[in-house]
Amino acid sequence: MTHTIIEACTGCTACVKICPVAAISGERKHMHVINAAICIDCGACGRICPSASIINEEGELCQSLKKSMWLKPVVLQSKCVACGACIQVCPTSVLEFDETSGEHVIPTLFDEKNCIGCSFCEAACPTHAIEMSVPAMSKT
Amino acid sequence: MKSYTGKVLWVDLTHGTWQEETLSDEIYKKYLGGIGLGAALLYRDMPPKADPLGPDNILGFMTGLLTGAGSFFTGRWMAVAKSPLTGTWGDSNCGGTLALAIKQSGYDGILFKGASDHPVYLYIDSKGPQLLDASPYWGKDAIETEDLLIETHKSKKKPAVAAIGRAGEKLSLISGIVNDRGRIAGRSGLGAVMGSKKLKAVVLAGSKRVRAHDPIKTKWLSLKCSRDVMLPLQLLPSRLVSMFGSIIGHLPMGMSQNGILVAGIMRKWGSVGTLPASVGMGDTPFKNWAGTKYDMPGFNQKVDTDFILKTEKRKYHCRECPLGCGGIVELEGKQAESHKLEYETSASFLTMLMSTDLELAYEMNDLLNREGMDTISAGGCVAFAMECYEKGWITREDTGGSELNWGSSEAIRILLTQMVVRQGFGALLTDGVKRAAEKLVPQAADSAIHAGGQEIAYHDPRLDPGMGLHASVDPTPGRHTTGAQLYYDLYKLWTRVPGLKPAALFYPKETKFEADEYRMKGAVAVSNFTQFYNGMGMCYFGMLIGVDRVPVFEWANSVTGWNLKPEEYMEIGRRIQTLRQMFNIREGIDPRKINVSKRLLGDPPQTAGPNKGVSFDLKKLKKGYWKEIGWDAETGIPTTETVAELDLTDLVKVGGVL
Repeated sequence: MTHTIIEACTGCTACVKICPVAAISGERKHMHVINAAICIDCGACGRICPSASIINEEGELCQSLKKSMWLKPVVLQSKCVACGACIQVCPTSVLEFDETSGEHVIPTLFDEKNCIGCSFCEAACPTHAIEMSVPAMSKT
Repeated sequence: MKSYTGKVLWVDLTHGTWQEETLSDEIYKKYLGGIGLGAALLYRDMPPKADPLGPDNILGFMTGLLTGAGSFFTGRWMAVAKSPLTGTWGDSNCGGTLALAIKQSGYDGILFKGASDHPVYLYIDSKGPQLLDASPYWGKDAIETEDLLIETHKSKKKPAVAAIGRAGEKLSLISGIVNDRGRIAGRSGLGAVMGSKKLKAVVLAGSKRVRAHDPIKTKWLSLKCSRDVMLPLQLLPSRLVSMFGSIIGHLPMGMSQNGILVAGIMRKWGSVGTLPASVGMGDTPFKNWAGTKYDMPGFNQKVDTDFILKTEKRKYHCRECPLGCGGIVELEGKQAESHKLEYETSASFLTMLMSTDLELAYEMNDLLNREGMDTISAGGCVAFAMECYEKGWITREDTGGSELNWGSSEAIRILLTQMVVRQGFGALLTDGVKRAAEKLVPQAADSAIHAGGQEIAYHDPRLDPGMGLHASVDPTPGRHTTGAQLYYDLYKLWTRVPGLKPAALFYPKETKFEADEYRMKGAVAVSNFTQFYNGMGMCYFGMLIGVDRVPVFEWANSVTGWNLKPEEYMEIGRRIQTLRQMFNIREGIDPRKINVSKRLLGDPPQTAGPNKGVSFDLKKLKKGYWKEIGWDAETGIPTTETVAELDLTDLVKVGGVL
């Protein structure tokens, strides 16, 4: 089962805008629908939804989070082997090779604003070289 | 959870329609993915004796079972079709980002049948496939096409693109399919198949997830592997590699080699790093296979592979590869960023043509990658033309005034520039040496070096007769990736597969040419393993490191959830190899007639160099191989018993099923 929308939906369209694969449809102020054939379970809709209307693939109600509290990838140079799997699985293409990172260039999060915090990169990394953390928290 | 999607996409270009086909787990267990699945689908659906450049040919873009699931060396995708160059089963293999992109689109393969009456490209995003008009891109090179299509379709997800250049559009039989700005599935002439279907490009922007059955085990294996293959050779100079090659070439005994050296060389230089050693030991051909390293004294000093490192701006890794044998090079003011030379391209544009003009080789490499022409075949064609010119079979009148002297940079540039667009004298060479020779005097046939019509990659069978054997017995002839005695040494299959004998460190050189049980079992094991790892979507450079360090069989189980033994995977490889051969038999191909040119068998023997005096009996080796794999030893046709044993009987009969 993929993510689904329940009746609490207010039709605010926040999920439509954040969904990286355009799986959500619906008219403003009306309940929206997730196309299960398209949904990739990135969870962005659940995190952005202000009315707690999204059920995740485990059947749990998703918790809305401020965008500043979303997890973002940090690439650990010492573990990364530059295979680029993280770059390719990213549904919003926000990771890219850092041309200044040495001979075997390694990825970095160059577009933090558009990162949806899905953790696909962390899951795909064969060497556990990606850690997800909240940028605001790590800065403090 | 499993690492394959269980679906392929069929696109009918004649009618502009498409449909998905769902495949059972049993089909994957029988044929794996990649070339294996491609062979099964094409055998089932392609009418026998199809015109390779007609609508009945099927062109597949296939991806392997391991791709995207957290293992390494799995960034390879495979093009499959009937080859217009050889008339046989055709496949070709390429890295970059496309393999994972195919799977992220939701498919294990995308197969095209029919032909469009106008240029089109396939675009797939999260909402599904679309066939779109490619007229604005027709006539453009592959890199320009890729850049424009990415710009057109870049939304949230950056797409991966495979395209043909003008060589494919012009139906050159040595054209390939290009992705990632200059990487190319160059062999078998499959760019022409794409061109004949008026399919300019495939643009993939899917984001579907790929997951291993057991991600924890898979990652554990990957972590261990990444530690086991990283041999730091940063301080090793190219002249030491050259010396190593010379020593091996002149040893009185044969010496087997170790894959960990391959990993170190690949990581530092890329495949071109093997050039000095290959030249030294007599592996690299000179002067259209007729010369030796003594025809170009000091070659390794004049063409220093360390120079390539100096022009390298950064390493290039195919997806899911820890080695990074690729590189992006730039010659300031002369050559914009391009992929660096591979070993094959450097032999093709340098030693084969008696040239030391490395800058020209960069330029021509970029040209051919852009226009989508196979650098292996193209260099072979130029070498053939130069030999014909030397012998007076081609004259200045024929060439329009150009002098095709050995090593002439001007001649090389003119010929290749004409070849990629089928113009001028170069048009003679656009379809490969075999067809070019047919248009010249009969004696020219002996100078046209090929197997079954495909120019042979640059590893000398007089040094490693396995190269000549596999280039002749494999259902896709002329390839260097399908097998060699060297690969048996490097793969170290005996560490995982029962019944195989370890390679001895030293052995009498003359035993290389024997069709004894050890050599023939080894040759068949290499074939079966090749088909297995192609089905898994793995890179042959990674495999050369050895299965003792690269846990390919273990990954296969952790990713799919199967519990098969290495010998069972090897048997699947034998099924795929046999099916590819059955494809050829159905096409009316006589395996006895596909042989590397006699020059490569030492007929006549060389009078100098590391392979001086060598000649060998290919027929004997072929018969030994056929017998060992279970094909008729006299004809090379898989026996009825073997077909039944491999559970292929239902597929190979008329109206067969998978």
